[in-house]
Amino acid sequence: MTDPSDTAAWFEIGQRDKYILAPFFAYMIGVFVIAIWAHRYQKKSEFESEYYVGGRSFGAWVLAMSWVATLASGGSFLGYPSFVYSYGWSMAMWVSGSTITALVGLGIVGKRINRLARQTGALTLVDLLRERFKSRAIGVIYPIVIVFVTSVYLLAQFIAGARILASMLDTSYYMGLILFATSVVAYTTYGGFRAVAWTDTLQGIVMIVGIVMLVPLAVHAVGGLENATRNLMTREDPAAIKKGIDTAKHAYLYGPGPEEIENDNSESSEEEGRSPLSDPWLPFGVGISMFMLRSLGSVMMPTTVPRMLAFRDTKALRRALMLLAPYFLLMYGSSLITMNCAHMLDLGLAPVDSDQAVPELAKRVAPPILAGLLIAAPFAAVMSTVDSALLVISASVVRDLIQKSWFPSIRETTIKHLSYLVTVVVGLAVFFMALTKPPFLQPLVIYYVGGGASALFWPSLATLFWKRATAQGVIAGLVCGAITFVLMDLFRPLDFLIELHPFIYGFTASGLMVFSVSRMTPAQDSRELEPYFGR
Amino acid sequence: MPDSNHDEKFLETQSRHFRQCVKEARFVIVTWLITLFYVGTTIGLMGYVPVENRPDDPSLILGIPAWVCWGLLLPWFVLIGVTWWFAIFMMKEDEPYMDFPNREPESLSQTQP
Repeated sequence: MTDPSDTAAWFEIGQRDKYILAPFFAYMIGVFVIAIWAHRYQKKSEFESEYYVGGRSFGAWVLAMSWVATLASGGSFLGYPSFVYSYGWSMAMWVSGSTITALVGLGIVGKRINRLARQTGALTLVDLLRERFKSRAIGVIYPIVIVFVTSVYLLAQFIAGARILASMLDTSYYMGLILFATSVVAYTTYGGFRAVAWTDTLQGIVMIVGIVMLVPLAVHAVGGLENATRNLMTREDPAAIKKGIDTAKHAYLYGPGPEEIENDNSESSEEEGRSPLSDPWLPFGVGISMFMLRSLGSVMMPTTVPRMLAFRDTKALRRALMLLAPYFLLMYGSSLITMNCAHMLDLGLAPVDSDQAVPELAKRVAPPILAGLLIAAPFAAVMSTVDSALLVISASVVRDLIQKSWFPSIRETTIKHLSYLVTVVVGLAVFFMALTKPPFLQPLVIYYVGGGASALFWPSLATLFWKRATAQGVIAGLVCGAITFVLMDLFRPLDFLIELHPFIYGFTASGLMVFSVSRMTPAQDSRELEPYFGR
Repeated sequence: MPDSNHDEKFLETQSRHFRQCVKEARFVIVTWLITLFYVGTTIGLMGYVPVENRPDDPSLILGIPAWVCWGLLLPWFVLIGVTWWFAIFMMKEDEPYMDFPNREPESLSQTQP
């Protein structure tokens, strides 16, 4: 796709079609009205509890939609469809873990974490851990890991948001980035967690309506899904051609899929750990890794945990589970169908621009007035994740590090101003990082989910469910999980035996460390444990 | 202010809450393991067919490769049912909320259920 910046000034906006612009701006106005409304609550309530957990008052709809809107980011609405567009039906296994994401993500820890957070007054996950183990080290190390992995995630989402705006407004990536960053940082800073959760609810609905509406339009445009799939049987594999080898038989219909598309960016090739003559895209071991990552990764994700601290009661949790159960099927099922149709329509996208496939398809197959709404869907997914990530980082820095670890007697007004300031500063920092325009979105998203789950899953789960867990064990699991993930991602020393995602190693190492170090260190006093576990 | 009666009652409810949470978590983990086994086996056998064994005319169901239907969509529909069953019958209402012993009630208590 030609970047408008090639032919026009970077700040020029070429889009003039009011049918595309009107629904999009109506959606944006809705978001800002919600933020202004939510800000009124901050004036009535205690600042911190309102800004970070929305007064713990959320019902089923807000819990369900804000949880899924946060979880389903630009990776789900741009990155994954981009992969389906590039690799066909072989990408089905990539989302196999999402079959059980809702049940695992909320069913294991939701009720437990919510109750303990209320009882201890925890506003963040770190509050809860620090309170149980009475450990300052946990209070420092945990938020640092959270800030690091969440920043990577934020970067991915800023890129996605900028790309959607660039496509929709027919402008440059840089102009899209400025508009995106300004709007999302403004409403997040102003409205706090309540605004984020309420806008997430709106965004969760817009997302699913938009992506599902694309299905009949795309299927109709190609004359039926069977037609599109049969067309895939004859599709040439550009990566195979580039390497001078034959396209594997029905490569787009079976795992492990066609050859991996070479990214011109050498850094990304290293990140994926494949040689220039790499094997097909999705080996079975990586597919199974993705099952584990996409299901277990949702349990202790820093951006979704605040939702578990904020719902009203178990009834809200149960109803949210029921709402969420079919959501993932609709979301990923729709992507699989639409993007396996999209290749027939020749969207004119270069492989490195395939993240644009959803907005480009929407513009191609939908009437203009509908296209605006359809493009708003992935944009909503991105915004809802960015606002949550901004607040997580703000909470980690202001609440967990500054207030709880270093300056416990800090005044509430100072906390308030610091929270606003940190949200803006983080937004600006990520904005400048995103100016480098990294080419692919999905690896960054997977890096966040994998890194976060490697480091946080076992330590957090042990804190909630295991009496014998100790502060040393939790810290060891946290650090070892994070380091193992990074090292395995960089060097991939075992790929010659079996190709697994680095998350598997980080996750396993973290679990072993939590278990063994906790066993080797003195148990917590049983009187300290009684409030958490009873007798 | 907390007293010994409150403490005793608190510990009882906290025990019941913890046991129920463990029971629910155990159910989810077993379901996850079964799903992992089914999805891994089905997709591994039907979806990762060696190139030389792939049929000329792959089996499609409503335009979708058969392995996607059996290995992904079928368990997905089943798990929607399981999740609903879990939410309706398995997950119990939580024990009545009680503050931690020796701790001032949370300022958010007006929002407690």
